[in-house]
Amino acid sequence: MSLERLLEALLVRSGPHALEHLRLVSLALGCALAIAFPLGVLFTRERFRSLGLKAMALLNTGQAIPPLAVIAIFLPFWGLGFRPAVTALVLYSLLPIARNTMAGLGGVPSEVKEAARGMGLNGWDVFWQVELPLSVPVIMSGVKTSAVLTVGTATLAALVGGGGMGRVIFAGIDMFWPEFIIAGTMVIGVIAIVFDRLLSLLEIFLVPSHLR
Amino acid sequence: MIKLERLSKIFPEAERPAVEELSLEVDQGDICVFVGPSGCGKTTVLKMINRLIEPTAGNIFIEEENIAGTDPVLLRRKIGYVIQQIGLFPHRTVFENIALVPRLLHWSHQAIEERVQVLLNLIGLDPQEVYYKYPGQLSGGEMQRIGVARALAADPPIMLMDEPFGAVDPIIRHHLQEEFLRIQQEMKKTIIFVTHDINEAVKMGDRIAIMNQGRLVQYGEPADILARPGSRFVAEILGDDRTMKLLELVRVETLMTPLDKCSEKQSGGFQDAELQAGRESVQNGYSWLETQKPLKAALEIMMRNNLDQVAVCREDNVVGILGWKDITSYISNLERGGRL
Ligand SMILES: Nc1ncnc2c1ncn2[C@@H]1O[C@H](COP(=O)(O)OP(=O)(O)OP(=O)(O)O)[C@@H](O)[C@H]1O
Ligand SMILES: [Mg+2]
Repeated sequence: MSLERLLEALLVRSGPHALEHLRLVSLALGCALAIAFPLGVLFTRERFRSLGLKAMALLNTGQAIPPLAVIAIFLPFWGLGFRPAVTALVLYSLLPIARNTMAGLGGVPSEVKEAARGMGLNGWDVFWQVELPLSVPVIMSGVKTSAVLTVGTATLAALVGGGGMGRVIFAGIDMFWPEFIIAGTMVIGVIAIVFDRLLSLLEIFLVPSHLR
Repeated sequence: MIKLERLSKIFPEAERPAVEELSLEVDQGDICVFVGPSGCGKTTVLKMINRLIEPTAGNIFIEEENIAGTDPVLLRRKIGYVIQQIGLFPHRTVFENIALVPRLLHWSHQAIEERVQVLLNLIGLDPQEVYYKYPGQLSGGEMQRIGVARALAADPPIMLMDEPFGAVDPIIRHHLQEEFLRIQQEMKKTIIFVTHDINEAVKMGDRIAIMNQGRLVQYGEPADILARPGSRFVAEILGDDRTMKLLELVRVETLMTPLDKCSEKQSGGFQDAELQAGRESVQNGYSWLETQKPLKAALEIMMRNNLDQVAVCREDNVVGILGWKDITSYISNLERGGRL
């Protein structure tokens, strides 16, 4: 263990990789949200409810596949790089968001929805004015879970040439430099905390004040 | 006018129809009260009227228009709906809950504010106190009253009220019933009202519809149903004091013998001079009550004072006499099928 090397890892090597890591995670999370949220909404609509249950079962099973396998599976098709890494991360972070979107929307009391419809709100208004505000807390907690999960999983992106903090950690493993492993882990921890805090801030804006 | 025509609803996978071949008409400005045991289909009927549920068979007409051909959203905005489970929006304040439909209809902000104040006063809640509260900060009874106010907000010509006073205590319930009947005199809305409380049904209803297992078993004016229940089932629902309930419905003025038609014998001890002198003299030895009081009150006075007749007063003047016999013959006449 040398303090010098630890500082080098933290201050010199981590910087660009941390940015890469942030980019990986933000992009993956953004895409996952853009896919999982509409899916969650769709699967809670009356017409698609049964489909939703099946999709959920599929996604749950998908979550059991080790992240390494998910990351590696695109290798034969897309080779190495940033894009396959992000794609794998997106797949991996879909589930918590989709599941919480469905749970949140499904948890809106049916009498509240019925009252809203009975008063003459159309489907659009019922969704935006009643269902969504009431389920935002649950959906946001899904997004947070997904974010923290993805920050961790993104370490593996380095294995397929996707960059990120994995580079620092795997360098440490290759060279038998525990300082690099520790430094990488610390930075990843910090990134996870930053994401969590940022999303909590977002939550304050989104969640109706009374429900917090 | 609301007209239900051989209305049926069979839910998927249900053993028996929730509503079966139900036909009835509710006149413009009337309150029709649905009574019946739990699960007999009352809520289902209401929800078919605002198209939250589509009937399996049959038709519903509102003002001669078959609602199957209307836009459900526009239809619902003309129909105030008090849902059985209250269903207030937990993320909205009391004000926002009540203001919902007026906002949808683009009322001006000022008009909405005024309307909410009026409604809160009407349901006996202090606007100052509840305005900015959230439903979670209210009691069940208060929430239920907000639900009623919300349904009344945009002054819809038709109201569907599913046990609207079920969660409030008897005193407030009584107040709300009175208040509601009072404003109904002006509003003249066409109302379908569901309740489990037969007393409430008798009090509120211009008509009562008694349901059992999805079927309409009797439909008529409260007095008619009380006097002549069509089956054991109906008699059971009415309870074993249905004659007393009947006596609560009729005012003494409808049955009294007006003073000028009283024979000497009938007016008995009421000397002309004394009668003209007003209720002071009546109080000295005779019992009296006002024209607006129910027959039950007359009966109460007679029994307590061991009399067989009472004087009926309007504004301090005796205007008629009501005897025990008048009441009993009225009842037996009704039970034989006569009318008032
Ligand atoms: N959405 C539904 N799907 C299947 N069955 C239903 C549904 N809604 C109601 N039912 C059934 O239809 C019947 C009538 O229900 P409804 O809610 O109209 O009763 P109700 O008279 O309002 O009872 P209560 O006085 O308890 O409110 C019941 O047997 C109920 O189980
Ligand atoms: Mg019901």
